[in-house]
Amino acid sequence: MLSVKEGCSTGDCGSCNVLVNGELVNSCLMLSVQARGADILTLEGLGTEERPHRLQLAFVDFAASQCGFCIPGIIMTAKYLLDRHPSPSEEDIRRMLTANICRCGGYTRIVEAVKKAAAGEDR
Amino acid sequence: MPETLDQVLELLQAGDMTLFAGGTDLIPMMRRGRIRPRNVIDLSHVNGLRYIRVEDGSIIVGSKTTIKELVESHLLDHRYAAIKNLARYFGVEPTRTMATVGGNLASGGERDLPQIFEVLNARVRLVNRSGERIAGPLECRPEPWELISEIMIPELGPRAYTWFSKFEKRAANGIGVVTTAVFLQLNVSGRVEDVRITLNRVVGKKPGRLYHVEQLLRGRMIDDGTLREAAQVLEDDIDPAPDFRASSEFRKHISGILVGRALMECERRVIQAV
Repeated sequence: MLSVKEGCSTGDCGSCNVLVNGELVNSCLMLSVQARGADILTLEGLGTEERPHRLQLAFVDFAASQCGFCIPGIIMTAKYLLDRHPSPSEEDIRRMLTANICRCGGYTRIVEAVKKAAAGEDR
Repeated sequence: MPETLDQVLELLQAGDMTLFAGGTDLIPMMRRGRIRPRNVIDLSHVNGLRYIRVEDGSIIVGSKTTIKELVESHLLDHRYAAIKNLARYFGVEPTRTMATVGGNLASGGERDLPQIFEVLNARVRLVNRSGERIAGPLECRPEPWELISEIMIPELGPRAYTWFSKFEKRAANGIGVVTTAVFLQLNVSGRVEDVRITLNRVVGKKPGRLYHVEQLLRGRMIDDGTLREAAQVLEDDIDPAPDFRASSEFRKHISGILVGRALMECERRVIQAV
């Protein structure tokens, strides 16, 4: 598993964000014993190279990834948002994405990509 | 891993134990080297402490309830805006998903829940193997052999509203420079019947009540004159510690403004509702 990144180790940056039983968590703040028996979704489980998830396609379309370190965490946050709010406003997207920090600073394209994925069909 | 409260209390008997609830404070404190726990008791499977229910008109919140569950609870109506506002001011979504009510109360320092629960007149139940005690939200640091089991929030009463707000240096996920919680109850003629106000830094870094301001407000209308006087009393009364986020003077100034706005918001909502 390569997608889950340990950035800050203190629950601030969101690069380690994964879904545990459908809930968005900072995995760096969890003990591995706490994950026993839990249903965990990381980027690896979201899509494949042949059949990428619509969020992954949108991120490629908008070239929303720069260095890419933060992107797996951001996509998991976006996935969590779309699971709960299939048609989020830009404000909803921006508010939810406060859970992630991108030090390249490419936030505009990231927000655009999530907007497009929200509007598009699931593949 | 313990699954019941009794098992946890039994383990605490051994001494030198640190409780792991949500981990959003504990892990960063460990990573920064501020604490070095020798033994950690993981509470993640103690689900008997995860509930919100109404009992004799009071709302009872189990200590393992997450901030997100508390904020989204239908048992708390719009008047509990002080709690609802945590959706905006308490960290980010993963923080609210992981952090627990008991953990926020127990970890000490400038936390949001002690301040909010104080103005709600809530009481905290701490249990140990041979008994329990009840404490106020601002003085509920558990002893090494104790655990916070639940928080009891009494009914607000008529014509009452609550508010919580934070002045931050960033739009989100910052540490609050100034935070305030307010409970306001008006009488039938629109004057202040009862009021409770807390700030994150009253003297030094200690959160607390603004008793003098509350005293001034009782029996008064919430108008510009009253709020100006209240801000003056507040600024004379508090002595917040400065740090790299803000000077003491700036904190005083912002505290006056934030408390004034919170009072106005509560008054507006009460009047709207009648």
